[in-house]
Amino acid sequence: MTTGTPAGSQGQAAAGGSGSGQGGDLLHVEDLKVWFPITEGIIFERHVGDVQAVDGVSFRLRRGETLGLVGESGCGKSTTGRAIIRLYKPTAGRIVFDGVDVSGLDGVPLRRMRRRMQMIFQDPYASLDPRMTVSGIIAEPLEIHDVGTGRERRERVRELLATVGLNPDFGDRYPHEFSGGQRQRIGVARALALNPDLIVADEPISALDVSIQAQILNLLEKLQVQFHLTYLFIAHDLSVVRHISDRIAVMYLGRIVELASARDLNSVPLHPYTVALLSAIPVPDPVVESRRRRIILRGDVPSPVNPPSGCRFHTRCWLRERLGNPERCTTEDPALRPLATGHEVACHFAEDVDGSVEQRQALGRPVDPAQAGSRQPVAPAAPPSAPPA
Amino acid sequence: MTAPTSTRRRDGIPDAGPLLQVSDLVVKFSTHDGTVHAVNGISFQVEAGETLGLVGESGCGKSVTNLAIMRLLPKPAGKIAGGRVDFDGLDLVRLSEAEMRDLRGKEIAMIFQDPMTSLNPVLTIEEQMVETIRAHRRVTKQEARARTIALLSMVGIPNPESRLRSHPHQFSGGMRQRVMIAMALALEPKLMIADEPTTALDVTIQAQVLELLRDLTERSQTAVILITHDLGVVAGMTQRINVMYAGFIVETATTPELFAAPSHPYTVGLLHSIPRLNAERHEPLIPIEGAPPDQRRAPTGCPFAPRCAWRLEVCWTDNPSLTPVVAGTRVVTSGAGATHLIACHNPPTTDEAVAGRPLRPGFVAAAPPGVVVDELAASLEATPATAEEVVLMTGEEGPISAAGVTDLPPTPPPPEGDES
Amino acid sequence: MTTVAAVTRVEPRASSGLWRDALRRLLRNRPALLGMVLIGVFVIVAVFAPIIAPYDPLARFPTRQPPPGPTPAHWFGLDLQGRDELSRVMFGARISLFVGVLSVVIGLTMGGIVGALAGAAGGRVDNVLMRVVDVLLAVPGILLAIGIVAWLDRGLIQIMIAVAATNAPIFARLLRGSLLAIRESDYVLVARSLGASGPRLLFRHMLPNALTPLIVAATLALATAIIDVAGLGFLGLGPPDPRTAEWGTMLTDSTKFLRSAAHLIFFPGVAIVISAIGFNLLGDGLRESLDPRLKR
Repeated sequence: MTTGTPAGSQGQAAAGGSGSGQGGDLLHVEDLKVWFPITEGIIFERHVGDVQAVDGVSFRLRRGETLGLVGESGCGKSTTGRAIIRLYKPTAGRIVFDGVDVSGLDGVPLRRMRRRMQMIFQDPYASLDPRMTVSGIIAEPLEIHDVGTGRERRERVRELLATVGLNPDFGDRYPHEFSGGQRQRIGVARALALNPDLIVADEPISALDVSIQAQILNLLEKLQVQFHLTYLFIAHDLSVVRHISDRIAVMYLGRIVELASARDLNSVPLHPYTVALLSAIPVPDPVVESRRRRIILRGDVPSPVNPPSGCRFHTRCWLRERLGNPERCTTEDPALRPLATGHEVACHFAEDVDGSVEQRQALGRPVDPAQAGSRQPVAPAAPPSAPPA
Repeated sequence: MTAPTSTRRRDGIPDAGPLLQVSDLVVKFSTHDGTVHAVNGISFQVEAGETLGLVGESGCGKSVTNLAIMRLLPKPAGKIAGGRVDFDGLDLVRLSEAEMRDLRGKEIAMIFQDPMTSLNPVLTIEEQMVETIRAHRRVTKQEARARTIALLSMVGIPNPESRLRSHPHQFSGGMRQRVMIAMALALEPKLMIADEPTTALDVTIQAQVLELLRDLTERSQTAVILITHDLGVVAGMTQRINVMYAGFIVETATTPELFAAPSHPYTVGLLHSIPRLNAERHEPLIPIEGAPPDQRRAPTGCPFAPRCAWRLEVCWTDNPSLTPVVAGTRVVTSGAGATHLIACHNPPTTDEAVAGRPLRPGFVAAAPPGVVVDELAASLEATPATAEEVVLMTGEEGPISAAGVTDLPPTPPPPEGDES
Repeated sequence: MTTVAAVTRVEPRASSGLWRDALRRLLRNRPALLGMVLIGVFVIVAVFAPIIAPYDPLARFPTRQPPPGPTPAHWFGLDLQGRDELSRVMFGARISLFVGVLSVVIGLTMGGIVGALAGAAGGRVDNVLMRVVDVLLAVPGILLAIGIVAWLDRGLIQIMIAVAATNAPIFARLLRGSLLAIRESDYVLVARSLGASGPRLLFRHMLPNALTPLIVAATLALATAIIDVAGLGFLGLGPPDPRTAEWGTMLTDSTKFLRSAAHLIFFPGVAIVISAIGFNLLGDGLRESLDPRLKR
């Protein structure tokens, strides 16, 4: 029941971040819902419920910017990404791509729109057809959409391979002859083949080794500048998302709970879930780690088949507990509302989060002001942590 | 502090050596592709009550090391081809399977990564835990059951009695991992080996489980070997860290020291290639170019050489051994005063470690010996800011192509004196 | 600007096709090689029987009861009607090969189409088709074959249909299962996201990847087919012309002579066993060489 608020979108335009947007929204998602029916019965299937994977998600994506979609398993971020490129048909809501509502399209018009939005998949081992050569894989989008002659396609494949940092002569090889990082590059090359405007990257580096992840991230950043791409970057790792995104949307159980610029999210998180998330992420700095006191969320994520009443997060919310379990959290579903320019939060009591002890703990700031300045970390591999507030 | 070769006395009289001493362990796998040299002669120790981190990426041998310690290598392919593993006075490599079975669970316990597959899906929790307890201790079923309930509540499972009859699939991932921890600690082992215990879990659940692990092992003074690729996790959980690459230990130090002064190019590279929450946002990532090596070849020279920005010619032919960072220091192998050791011919200076790349003017990473460097056309795309070089090298084994070459992102302004 | 060129070794050998890789692995597999040798012998004998058989399989020689065993003139001895056993075994290979192969081909086609329809269409169609397949699978193979031959009358074609009917459901199930699994795999999802049409998905992506288990199953089915054909013959449902040399039929009347003229049972029996083993070995070898590597 959350809807994108007009006030929010204006705010986002102002806080467009460092994205080199040429103005205008490339993508506008309005109250998107993707529900998967659950059926029972052998011969006659009864519809007994729905997995409410995505339940009312709204956001705007400006041309040239990177929006990060972050959340844990079951939050619906992958489903959102796939619904946008129409791998799933939305149950409700609109997906307006460059002015055209693609949520209801089919057939030829859909195919035409597909050229402009492409996806990079998570698993570099499964997303390449093992029986096709690398050239075949990269050329496939060109074939499907009937672009260019055979020779032009071959040229384009070589060009794309070089663009992603692979030797163009390796087109005749098969995927299994490449490493994970290289395969992911092939996936990126394929996504670029049709010169799309939007690329949805669904956990593009999670399956890769740490030392390779940075290679691919850098590649994606470079390509964004080079080809004026707009990214929807879906991942569960907030550190990675923060690095590459201009704005970030945090999802929980099918909804966006916080939407802000990457900088604001990291320095002023306002939703209790975001705070808990930040607090949980281990930081490669033992001094910071020893100082931290984590907010441990209790219990597990509820099932998307039967989400909690009212605010979906209320069953695990530390803020609610601290405020004495207010009734409102169980009865009223908070809408995504702007709390600051370009910063939207779906929480009834978000004002209480800012400046709270938990927020400071999550950000690794000393809780006791007297500690400020006493133990600056000496880690040379990172600049000193955020100055004490 | 402790002489590495002495063993601990079993009558409980304190001190005479570490709890676990691995010496020159070599593990090979025979596959139909050839022999995989998974672990190539590593040595390390773990004291009682200490948490040691084994950090590295896939293929570095960290998991294999621990399977070898537990003698759980897949047969017949995996073999311990050399070295000793001294645990509490016994050489585990030489024990019989029956003797090992006696040790497993009771003295040494292991937690695996995937909570889905490491619990038997057909048995209830009660059956699995009670069975484990009774396999090693003479207790009645009631006593085992009571202990199980106590353990489950110790790991934070609500309403443990009602969950006894549940099957693993009825638990969430985090819960299953807690059950695994409960099973591992059931018999109060002296050493627990946790192999990527939280990699498959969501980050908020990971925080829960790690906290639990830390609490419990501190309380019971269980020694822990924590295997992971996540530097953030080891930063918060360990006292000492071994960094592994391609079956070798390339750096070892106490945790604070490792992060304060990372000295091996691989460690430096790793630390620079992960985005951090506590760093500036658009701090450029400096990836480690290339990919982990093919371990089907016997290692010649330093295994990291092909990817190392600091490499010298000698690095291609001579595999450096672990030596103290500060030359001449006496080697202390464990505890809070453990010496910082690295295996490197040309370690980065402190400034270079901060910058993430060599800063010596005119320094170029050495090419493989006997190789003709032939530079191909420079720019492969049009943007002037990112010209690329594809370096095609021919060597004795045939064409080796730099298939993984990308340029570095625009580097921050070089310090004075650097001419690039 | 400094560039660190990483020296990455990509396999220096020329990239061979997937099939050539698989073939190479197959040739390294000893049991499979043995299987191929056995099959080779079987096929050569079957194909060239008219040329290499020492005698006309119908020619009768003077004999006694029980008929004589191996002699220098007749290496496998004579059968009950005084015909040269060796020649009859050789000609029997033709029937086994011909009927066996054709029945598997028919079974593959029928089962394949059903399986492909079910796997690709899903939903109701899948449900209905699979229930039919289930019914067929519920009947033990040989009984089903007997039933069909009894119904359709004896004859080579009928035997082919009968044996095909026993292996078709297996292929259907197999192909359907593979397709269902492949349908969910990432690369198919990718193709869909690119806008690939249904037929393209099926023929370009799904079927080629579903082939390998089918190839293995077909090879193993050949082994079973040979045994089934012989089995039918043994039970008296073989080719109606009693003069035809068919391994199973050759065994039918010979059971009484287990002690006195064991050669009557031994040679056809061994021939059946060896051909079946050959295909089994090859099938196992194929499974190893085709499948697990692709997971890498």
